[in-house]
Amino acid sequence: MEETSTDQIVDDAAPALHEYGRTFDVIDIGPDGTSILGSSNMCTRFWAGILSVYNSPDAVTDQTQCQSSMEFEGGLSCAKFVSGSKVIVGLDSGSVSLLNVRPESGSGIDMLASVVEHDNVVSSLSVSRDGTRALTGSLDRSLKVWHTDYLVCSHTYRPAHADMVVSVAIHPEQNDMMVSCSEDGCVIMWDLRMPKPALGIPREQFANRPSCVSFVNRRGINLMIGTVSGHLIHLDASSPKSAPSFELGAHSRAVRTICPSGEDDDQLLIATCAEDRTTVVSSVNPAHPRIIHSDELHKDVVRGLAWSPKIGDRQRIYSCGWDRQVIVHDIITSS
Amino acid sequence: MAAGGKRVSCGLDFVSPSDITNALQIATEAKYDFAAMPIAHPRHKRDFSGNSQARRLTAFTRADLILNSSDWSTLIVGKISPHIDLDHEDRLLRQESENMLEQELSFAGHLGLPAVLAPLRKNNTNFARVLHNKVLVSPSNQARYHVWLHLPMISPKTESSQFEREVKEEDTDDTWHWWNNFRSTANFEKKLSLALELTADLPDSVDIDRWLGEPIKCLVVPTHLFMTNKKGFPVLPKSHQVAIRQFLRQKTQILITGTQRHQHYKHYQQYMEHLWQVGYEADPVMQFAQGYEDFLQFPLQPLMDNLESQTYEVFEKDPVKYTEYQRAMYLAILDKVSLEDKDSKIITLMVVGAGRGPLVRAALAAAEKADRKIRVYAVEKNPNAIVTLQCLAEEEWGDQVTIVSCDMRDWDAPEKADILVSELLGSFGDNELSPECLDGAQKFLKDDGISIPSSYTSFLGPIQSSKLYNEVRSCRERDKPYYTSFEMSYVVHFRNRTELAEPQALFTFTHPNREMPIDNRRYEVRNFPIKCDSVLHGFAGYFETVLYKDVMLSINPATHSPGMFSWFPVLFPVQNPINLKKANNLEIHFWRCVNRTHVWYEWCVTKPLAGAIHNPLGRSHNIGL
Repeated sequence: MEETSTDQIVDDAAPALHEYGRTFDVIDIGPDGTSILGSSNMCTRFWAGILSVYNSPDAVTDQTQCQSSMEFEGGLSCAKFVSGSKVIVGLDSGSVSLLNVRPESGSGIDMLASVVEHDNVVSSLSVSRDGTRALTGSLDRSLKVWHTDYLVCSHTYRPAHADMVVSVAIHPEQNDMMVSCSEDGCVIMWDLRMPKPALGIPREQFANRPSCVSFVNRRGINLMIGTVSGHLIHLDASSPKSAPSFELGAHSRAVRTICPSGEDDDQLLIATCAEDRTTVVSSVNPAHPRIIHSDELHKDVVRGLAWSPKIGDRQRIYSCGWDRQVIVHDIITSS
Repeated sequence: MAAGGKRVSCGLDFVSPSDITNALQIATEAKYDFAAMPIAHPRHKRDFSGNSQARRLTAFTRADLILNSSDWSTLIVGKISPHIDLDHEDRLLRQESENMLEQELSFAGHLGLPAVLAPLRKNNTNFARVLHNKVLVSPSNQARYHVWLHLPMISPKTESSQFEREVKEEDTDDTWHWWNNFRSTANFEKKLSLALELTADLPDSVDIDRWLGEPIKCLVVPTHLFMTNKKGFPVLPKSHQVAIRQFLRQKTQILITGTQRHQHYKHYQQYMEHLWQVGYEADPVMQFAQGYEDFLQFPLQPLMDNLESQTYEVFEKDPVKYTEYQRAMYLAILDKVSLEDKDSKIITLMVVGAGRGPLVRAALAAAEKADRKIRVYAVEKNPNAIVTLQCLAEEEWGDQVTIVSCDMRDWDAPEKADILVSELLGSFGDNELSPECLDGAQKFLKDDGISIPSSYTSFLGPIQSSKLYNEVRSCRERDKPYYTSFEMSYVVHFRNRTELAEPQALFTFTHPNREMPIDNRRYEVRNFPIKCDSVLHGFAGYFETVLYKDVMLSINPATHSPGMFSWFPVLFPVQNPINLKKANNLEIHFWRCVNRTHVWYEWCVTKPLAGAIHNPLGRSHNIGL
């Protein structure tokens, strides 16, 4: 579905050195290594979001290697790969767009579809592992589930929460299971097959307000919840009323992003970042939960995280932050 | 951004406008009067905790140079960042929110914005404190902007529970209480008002009425509420139309928010304009009373003072009052003179307090219509009005009417009247001392004489109105004690208020009064069952009068004479607002006190809270005999 969108200002030709905004918000690595960096300008005359495309994850650390970029009105808060060449972005204007970052023509970025159905900033985006389904959460308190083929919204829950939605995730194996977290302090599990899909996790489970949520482990239904105090709480959501399995004190400030490595191994590594300068990698296997790596390489808050595929016993994380840097962290994953 | 007399003032909400100038242009081209834009980018959480030295020193938002100052001060409403939460449990986040709010409010002041829109949460005491401080601060630093607290009509938690599999039976989460907590903490400050958002489900009419009594400056209408009619234009469901029209009567502004779901943003504005137009045309009183809404007036004292020509002129324009009086006199005349006597008998009709003669005219017309003969005396104490009466007697009425320049209580009448007609009623019935006057006049009423009006009753009803409470509070005069303005009654054309219970009858007076001795003092106790959780700010006073048999006049809302605008209701304030719960019993004691020179009212609330007596000894307000 081709729709001209008022969001698109510039469809680039040659990349220039300033093809990125002042704050780096999101980074993602596609299955074939194509990488995207989303950035925004929030203090300049024109509030804009820029999506930059790179050929490989290492290229992202050097902004001169930007292959192509596209500018959006208002700011870009989330972006994820749907397939090798397709990317979904969520914008501050409330619009959700589907882009082809590797068009047959070879250069530039194609806007495949763009719809504005959210009434406020799209704060959070999650894509199912098979790439057919996407979930967006917005500051308008609602959730929307999308078919990624033509960006058609299949489910809308308005209002899903009593306050802004800040974090959403789709289960790695089961496309119908989702979770959302909001400023109202609630974490809600969603099962789309049910007529009443929402099941709230009792607020008493958390000592501090949750700020971020994700599924970990493809098997079972296991949640990782980050709180405003910087703690990571693991919860077995198949029996939500049971107590959390364990808690890790990973950060000192509110957890912002939880990024599971996606590898199906015993370690169950996740990378997390918060409203501070640290990047932390933890192993969240309930048998032996621990923090594996923590560093403070960024000079400002860290926002986006992406894992590159595992090579032997080493993995790499790429992190981006508001210091306009993309930093590589090498993680040695020996058990 | 003033709400115009003939139009509704409509604004457009932008979430994250890339280019302010462009956004403003879109809004003005679509005929919107103002635009709401964020002061800082909604995702820009500033850093005060040391994450980034560099970022702390840079600009936190875009510059003011983009628009000129007159645009900022008339066309833009600034929005506070949504992530700011001054009542967050986490101490660090709370402090950061305070710092960010300070930054944004300071910038709003710098830009000269007329208003600032901020979301209101359930816990809001610290937020109320900070905003209240902003208003109180010294005039040079003072916030010149109004703050609109953005609040949905129904709690989103209640709305989101429709998806919940296991709904817990918690206490109902009522956003009115969030507001009540906020504004009580902020001491009913005038500059802090509401931007109320309509929701898909509307609350009960009792709750909507309660919102109508709140200082709602702006009604936020989300675009997802609109349906599409056959031609593809946006329309609202009937229930929402009714609700919006009620708010539009109070000159509330409208803010359209949300993504464009129909062909063009301008269609929403056109629809609002249409709703306003329909409401305006349907309400003639609204057209007459424009400018008088919620405006406090001191009641007239026509007995002690003399009324002015202009006042008489306004009264004489009432289309309903004199036709009803004429009808009453017509029936009374027919009762006094039978068909056989119609050529032989001439009855005496006296108009006491004749003013400039409209009742005399009505009497003559009634007699002609009844085909009976009457002789009229017109008694008036105001020597200036006598000039008019003499003129009319010479030019129009002839010998049939005798003009008497005298106070009716002092007149030594040459004969007694068959029918005594008067219109000495104030908005609270007896508050212009009609009983005392007519008691003095009834000495020249025959024993079987008729008095028109034959009786009148005052009515009292509890009300909630922040706006009127503030108006009364600001009536404070410098050399008088602070309680004075709360111990007076005011004549007010009520708009922005909620009735908390049905008004009840209070004092009744009948004429002629054959009691021995005559005692016009009164003392009554009334109990009101309260409709909903609310705040008591005072009592509204009305009256009903029976002119003769079934002819009556009334400003009691339940029985209001249609189209009659001569009397606006009365307001009796209470000094301290009282929080009430649904089904509470509100008990009020009311006195009418009389001494040789004055009459006054005293009142006090005893349940649910015992309060002090207002206006003891008539110290703040009394009516001179």
